[in-house]
Order: sequence, then C-alpha cells, then structure tokens
Amino acid sequence: MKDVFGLIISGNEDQELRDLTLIRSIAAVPIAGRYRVIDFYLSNLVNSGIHNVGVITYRNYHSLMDHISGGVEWDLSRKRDGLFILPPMSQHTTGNSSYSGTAEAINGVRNYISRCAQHTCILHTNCNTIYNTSYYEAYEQHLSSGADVTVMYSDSRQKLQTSSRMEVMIKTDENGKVIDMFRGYTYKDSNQISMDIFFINKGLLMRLVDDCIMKGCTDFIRDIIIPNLEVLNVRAFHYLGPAFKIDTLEGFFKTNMAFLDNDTRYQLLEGSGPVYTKVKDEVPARYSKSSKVSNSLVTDGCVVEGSVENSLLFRGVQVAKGAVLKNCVIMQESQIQANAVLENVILDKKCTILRGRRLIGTESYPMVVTKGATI
Amino acid sequence: MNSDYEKRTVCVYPLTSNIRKKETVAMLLAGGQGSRLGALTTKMAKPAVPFGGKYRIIDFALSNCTNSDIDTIGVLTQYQPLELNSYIGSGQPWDLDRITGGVYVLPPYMSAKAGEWYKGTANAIYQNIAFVEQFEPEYVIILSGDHIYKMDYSSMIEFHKKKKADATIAVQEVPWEEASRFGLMITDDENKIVDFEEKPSEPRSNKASMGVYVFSWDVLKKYLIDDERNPDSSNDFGKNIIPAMLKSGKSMYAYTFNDYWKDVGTVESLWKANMDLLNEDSSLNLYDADWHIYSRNPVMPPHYAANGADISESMVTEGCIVEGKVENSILFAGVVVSQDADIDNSVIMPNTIIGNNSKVNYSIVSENVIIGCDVIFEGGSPSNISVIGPEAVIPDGTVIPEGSRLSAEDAEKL
Repeated sequence: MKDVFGLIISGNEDQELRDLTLIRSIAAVPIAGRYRVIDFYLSNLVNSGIHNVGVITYRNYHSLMDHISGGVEWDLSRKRDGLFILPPMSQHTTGNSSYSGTAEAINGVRNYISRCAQHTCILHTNCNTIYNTSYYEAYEQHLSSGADVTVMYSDSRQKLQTSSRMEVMIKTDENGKVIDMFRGYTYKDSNQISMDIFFINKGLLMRLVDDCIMKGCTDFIRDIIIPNLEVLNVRAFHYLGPAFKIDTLEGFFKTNMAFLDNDTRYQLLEGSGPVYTKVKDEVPARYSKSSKVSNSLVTDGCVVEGSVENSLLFRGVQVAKGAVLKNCVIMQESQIQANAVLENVILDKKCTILRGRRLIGTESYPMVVTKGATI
Repeated sequence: MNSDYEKRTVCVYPLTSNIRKKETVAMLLAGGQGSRLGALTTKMAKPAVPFGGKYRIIDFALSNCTNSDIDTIGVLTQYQPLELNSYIGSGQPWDLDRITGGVYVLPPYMSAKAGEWYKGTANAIYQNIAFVEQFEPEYVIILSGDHIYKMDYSSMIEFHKKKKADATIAVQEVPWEEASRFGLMITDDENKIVDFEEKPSEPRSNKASMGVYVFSWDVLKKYLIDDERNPDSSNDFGKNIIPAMLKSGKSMYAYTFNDYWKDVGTVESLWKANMDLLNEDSSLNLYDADWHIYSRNPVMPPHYAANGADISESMVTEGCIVEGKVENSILFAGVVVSQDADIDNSVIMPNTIIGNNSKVNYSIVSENVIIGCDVIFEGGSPSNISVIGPEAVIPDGTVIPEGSRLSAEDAEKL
C-alpha cells in the first residue's frame, strides 16, 4: 500500500444526531467507551500500511483537533508524510467558513492532494460508519479489475442494521460493475449499502472535481459518480465484516449497544487490527463493596458504586451508591449521584445527574443530555 | 582585500552557552534483579514488574521526574534489560521524548581498555560520567527504580540549594521497631547529617534512607573517581560514597518525606502495595490530576463485565473480560476471569486467563499465565502469598499447595 494515501471528509450536514453534533463534527463523536468515530477510520488506514492521511475538517473542529492533534497515537506523527489536518477554507476563495458539499471539500484541499507522493486515494466522503478492515484486498481488486473507481459496500442482510432512514445504495451487474447509485431504504430497495469509501486515482479525482466545480456542482456522489457511471468503470467491493452507521441517534445508540456482544466487539476492535485512540493515562476502573454490574463495558478512570446494567461507561464516569443505570451510554467524566435512576439515556460529556433524579427514555428514542448539563 | 573583511573571517564566535546544559540530571538505577521476587523476576528486572493494574514499578520514578520538571534521565540497566528497554522506548508515554535531554537507557558497555558490568550503584554512575558531563549539570539526583511513591523532586533540590549542601538524602521516618531494617541517618536539629548507620541492631534514629540522593555534581564526581581507585570498595552509595563524604566533613542534609513510600522488594510487600490501592483511605492517590502517573497504555477496549459477573472492592483495567467473581483484587489489562471462577485478595497481571470454576486467593499471578478449569490456587494469608511466574500453564483440576512459588518450568512438572 506504498502508493496509497487516505483522505477523510470529517463531517457534513447530513446527520441526525441532535445534541451530540452541536459542538463537534461527527468524526469526533465519542463511541464505545474510549473511542471517537475517526479512530476507526484512522486505524483502518494505518493497519493497512498507509502513512499519509489527510483529514478535511468541518465547521466546529476544535474537538476533533484536540483528539487527533499530531497523530502520535496512530503512529502518524512522521517526518515523511503522516497526518495532515486540512481546513478546507484555507485554500479556497469563496469566503465561506466551510464547504457545502464533498466535491467542494476536496477542491479546497487540492494543494495537499497534488503534493501527495502516492497516486491512489482512498477517499472517505463521510465519517459515520463503525467498521474494522484492512484495505489490502479491496486495493488488490481495484488494481486487478482495472477499475477507475472502486466503491466499498456492506451487505445489510448479514449484519445488524442500525439506521432506519434512507441510505446511499448501489446496484451492480453480474460482473460487479456498478450500474446505479441511489438513495433508498434498507431491505426494501437494495441490500448493498455504500460505505462511502472510494478508491480512485488522484489525477482522475482532480479532473472530475475540476469539472464538477466548473459546473457549479458540489457533491462527490451526486454530481461526480452518478452522472459518470456510464463513462467510468466503477466497481464494487464487498466488505464482509460488521458495519454500523451512526448517522441517526437511534443508530448511534444501537451501535454502542452492539459493542456489548463479545463477537461484535472483537470484530470491530480487534478484527483486522487494533483501534488506536488518544491515551488519557486514566487509573483502572474501581469497584466498591456496593457495586453491581452486568453486561456492561466499563472504561479506565470509572468509579462504580451503584448498579449498572446493559450500559457503557466511558472514561472517568462516576456512579454513586444507590444509582441505577439501565441501557445507558454515559460519556466521559459524567457523574451520576446517589439514588439517581437512568434508563435509555445518552449523557454527553461532563454531565451531572443530581441525587435521586429519574431520567427515562425509550429504546427507539433515547433521551439525550447535552454536554456539561446538570439535571 | 578589504582589511575589515579579513578581520571578520578570522574572528571566532564561540558558542558561549551549551544548549544541552541542564540544571539537574536524574540517574535512575534500574539494574537490580529483585531476587526476592522469585518467579516474578526470572525474565525481567524488578523495575519492569507490573503494578497497580496498568503500571510498572518504574512508572512512578519516571512520572515523578516529569512532574518535577526533570527532563533528562539516564536509566541504568543491567539485569534482564529487554523488557525494560522496550517498555521505555522513546520515553513518549512520560513526555520524555525531548529534543535536548529526554530518557536514555544506559547499559554497561565495552571501552578500549576493558568492558565490565556495573560493580555497584556508585560504579554504575562512575561508568557514565561522560553521559552526565555532556549536560554540564549543577546537580545530579540518584533514584532507584523499585519504589512506589509520589514525590516532588524539585522541592528536594530547592532544599539542597537553600542548605548549600554537597549532598541531600531523602529520608522517611519509619516506625522505631522497624528501623533496624534500614540505613539510618542521624541528624542534628538543622537536619544536618552527623552520622550514618546501616541496619543497626539498636537504632539511634528512625530516619530511613529512601535511596533518593541529590548531589552537587562536581563534588560527587570527585568522590566517584576516588572510590573507583580504591580496590577494596564495593562501589556502593550507601556503603562507600556516603560514609566517605561524611568522614571528610562534607555538608550533608536529610530531607524528610513522610508521604506514601514503599519498597516492593518482596512478594508480600508487592502484594501489600497493590492492596493499598484498593484502600480508599490510602495516602497513595492515583486520581491526583496534578500528579499523573504515566504508563505505556495498552491498546485495548473497555473491560466487559458479563451477566453474572460479581465485582466488588477491586480495580479492573481495560481489555479484561469478567464473567465470574472478583473481590478485593486487581486485574491488569486483558485478564479473563471465566464463569464461576472466584478471585479474592489477589493480583492478576496482564493477559492471564483463569478458567471456569477455578479459585485464586491471596496470590500474585504473573503475565500470560493460563490457569485451567477447576484449579485451586491459594496463598494462606497476607504474610503467605502464592506466586505463579510468567507464561506458566496450569492444567485443569490442579490443586496447588498454599504458599507455592511456581515458575513456568515448575508448572510443567505438575
């Protein structure tokens, strides 16, 4: 994979994560106890031997910068290549503070792309899927099939689907050539869901983006891939592992819960290689005499004195004596005081739930508490 | 040719300051075998022994340095250095990957005339005089890599400066009845050291040396060179350097440190220091945001407590899977406790697997051990702790007698 670089577009408007993306792009959303969504993207690239990765930032990217900074944890702090954080507006003259579509985002970082020594780009036009893979096989297929573009898809029939809304689907002919890409509902319209990951030669990418921008268009899939399906040789690669979309709150919630399953957790966090994340030097989790915990993931830095069931506790969460948690996702450094009861709740970072409070959401519409709130 | 130009070309601009100059250099003695830890140290030096769920013993001294703003550290290794070398690496986890300074691993080496092992603690520093000299330090702090404590070395160095001392020795006031186990400093009212006794039967002081010394470098250098010339010397700080300095009337002070400090030289003290972490009243607070203890973190998911898990009064680290019962114990990264297994009062080191229905009590189980199903492995009490060494495999149904100390080789004969 010496001749490959990665490009990640770290956010867009197309998310329904309510308060979770108020203060951060989707790439920086915390997930599964100690990770952020982008950890999966970066680790997959690094585990495939790719050492040049550009991350295009989106609107409120302080949280993302804070997390990935120099890229040390992903072994991307390199003299040659490494991690590049690319604010799209820096090379763009429209005066906007961000991009309105993925093609525009790519256009904004053309200097980075043209300077890359590698020739094939793995383009991630979205940052909303949790998956674990190495790209060796897909890259091999991309080269041997002579494709102009290879798009990765996952098959929803085999794996749990987390999202109930329209997805970008693909349709292939018997030779694996993509003949259509469209938006549709899972199960009903197709089972081949695009993972929004594309292998493409960087010269071709720049030509297509130029053409697109000239026509005043903005989106990579809608304005570049779909109109050119007959001209370009676009092929599909079937990703076989589990993939979870987290572009809705329901999806986010179910994905977190999926990590409670031993097999799924193993496949997502160790399958093709470990998932790296920022190190926080937390103390191991501590349990007291009164703690009760079952079917839960607990991260370093937690102090558990209450009862926790079917839940995920992120780093540094405190659950006081008598508190009861069921089906909850509790993010970093939140505090649940004595005798509080929480069910189907997502707490963002640094929330405080005072003594004896009761918060009850439902499985399909979990209650979300904004970062830093005290209830 | 213009004479001005000529003048300029011959003019020499000397580098007036050495950019590598450091006020203090730390020398961390990490070569000890720790033979009293038996099976735990057959494959690694004592400072590399895992401690407290995700640390190794040496993390405390290294983190203390970082937190005390000491960024230049020589780590002197000798016994089984592989584990320690790869653990320290570039020093990045402790923020010690610096452009000037940082952490250096210093094994014994060959020179043109001879090559020799470190004969003693003082000889280890003597052989690395050139290393220290390149930083032109005013002070050198000598540390040992096998103690558990959180200490601000910078206030000790301040004390040393204020007293205009040649040497300052950190002491801890130990209970009088235990004092005869230590090297003791006898001081006057000003904390000036007037005498020194090594493990006396009738102690005159309870100020035990912690093995932490601050020296003014030019003074120490002279004594190291003199000591090396003496063929009868055992080249040891406690036995030779300190008494020699005292004898010639150097200005030496005791710096009292009364917070948590533990020498984890024996199996029982290592077990006890681990258990101290579970005690909420313990003065060793790892949750101190101003004094982080850093370590090389494992890349592992959060730990999973399954249905039926029963965890109380314990510390559990990332990567663990707990299906059974864990009480008053410490599980390191990646430990698996299978269904109906019962872990009490024990320390289970990284990546060890404990099979169904096995029982472990009052024990230290080392790294990468596989304990089969229905195994009974018990120590008797806090003063009789059982140990299994790294990589051991214990077959199903084995009952191991109380207080056993098994290495992987012993386990093969079971």
